[in-house]
Amino acid sequence: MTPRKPLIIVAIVSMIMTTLLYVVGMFVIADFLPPPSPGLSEAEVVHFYHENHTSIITGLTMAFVGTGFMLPLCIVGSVFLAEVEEGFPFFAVMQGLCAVITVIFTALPNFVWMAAALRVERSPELISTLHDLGWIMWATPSWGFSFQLICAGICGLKDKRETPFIPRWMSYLALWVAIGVMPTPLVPFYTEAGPFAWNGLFTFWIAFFSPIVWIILLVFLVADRIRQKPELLLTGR
Amino acid sequence: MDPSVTTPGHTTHRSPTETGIWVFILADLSIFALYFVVFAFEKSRMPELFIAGQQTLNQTFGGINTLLLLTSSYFMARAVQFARIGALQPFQQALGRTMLCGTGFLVIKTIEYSDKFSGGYHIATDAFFRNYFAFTGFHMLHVILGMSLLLYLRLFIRSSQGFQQNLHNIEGVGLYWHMVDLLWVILFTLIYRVP
Repeated sequence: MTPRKPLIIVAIVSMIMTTLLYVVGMFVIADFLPPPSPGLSEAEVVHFYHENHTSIITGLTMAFVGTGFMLPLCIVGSVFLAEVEEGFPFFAVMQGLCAVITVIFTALPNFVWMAAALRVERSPELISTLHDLGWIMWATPSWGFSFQLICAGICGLKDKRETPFIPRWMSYLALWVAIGVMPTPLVPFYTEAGPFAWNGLFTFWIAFFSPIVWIILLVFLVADRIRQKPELLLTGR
Repeated sequence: MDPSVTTPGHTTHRSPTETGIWVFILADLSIFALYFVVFAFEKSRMPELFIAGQQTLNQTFGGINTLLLLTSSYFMARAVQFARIGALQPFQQALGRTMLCGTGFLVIKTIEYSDKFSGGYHIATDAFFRNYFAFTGFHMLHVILGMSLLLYLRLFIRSSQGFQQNLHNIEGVGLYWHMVDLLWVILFTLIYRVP
């Protein structure tokens, strides 16, 4: 059994760092989130980059640094998953690799938008193309964290004890969140605001916040469980 | 103590399967409830467009699919009953019929979609078809997931002992399948029928 306390400290620190850097960077400084409507005209997009040149680059830089801190948190998850598994820890490896994908697809669009903000005097078509490219890249892929959640859900459900390590409804909720984020591939069909556009109800508000709420809830449940019973094993076999 | 165990003189009422699955179903139903609200809201903003779109839909296909899913739900309920009394062969038969109806649903859905595509309608045509393809497509994804779960039960429960270990899973899959059915009935009413 890997000592619990350092794992939980790593998880909480990395969660706080990600949240602080990403939320402050994207929501407050760069003003990229909540996302702008895909229906903005080219002139409006260019104007946005013109007016906020420095704050965009500052916020996006903070945010991409913040995404890096997601990795330690996810790898702590893999350590726990590996303890549940017998033989080769398939779900732990799968979850860890998918975490890398999630981090890449969350961080990469920031560089595309930075390129748009870097030389605001370039032609408007190029700025709006980079803007679209960034948003499609940011909002469309969801299979990375879908797989992460499915791995966590399946391993959680393997625990059939009366008092499981994490409540079983959390695992079912993970599977539901994994399904709930699936409509994101519809994003590129929307050139105006709508429920499945990159700022839409299902593809932004639900797909972005439901995994976050789930992971925060999970970290607190696990930390609380370990505080109560430090020696509780992850699996009842 | 297993809540399903009843001691003499003291009857325990339990709801089928475990709480977690009910949480899952509640969450999924809330998402679909939001879909329905979005559909109704967009329809109230563009009534002509939505009525014109509705008239291009094939009511027969939708109707047959509703009947297929309702029938499949009946067989699913039978399968759960057989699982509870430990009757293996009737259980497998009922499960097979459920899957047959599910396959029928998917085949008709595919024909319906290709009919729409060849008619020049696709997901980016207008607001009605965006909703139509997104919602029915997402529902179809649920049917496919349900079929995979049914296939799993069909392949891995091969003995009476399998029932004791898997009764919760069978009931869970049953509930999920009824939810998929229920959602289709609402989708069908809302998208195909409501004028």
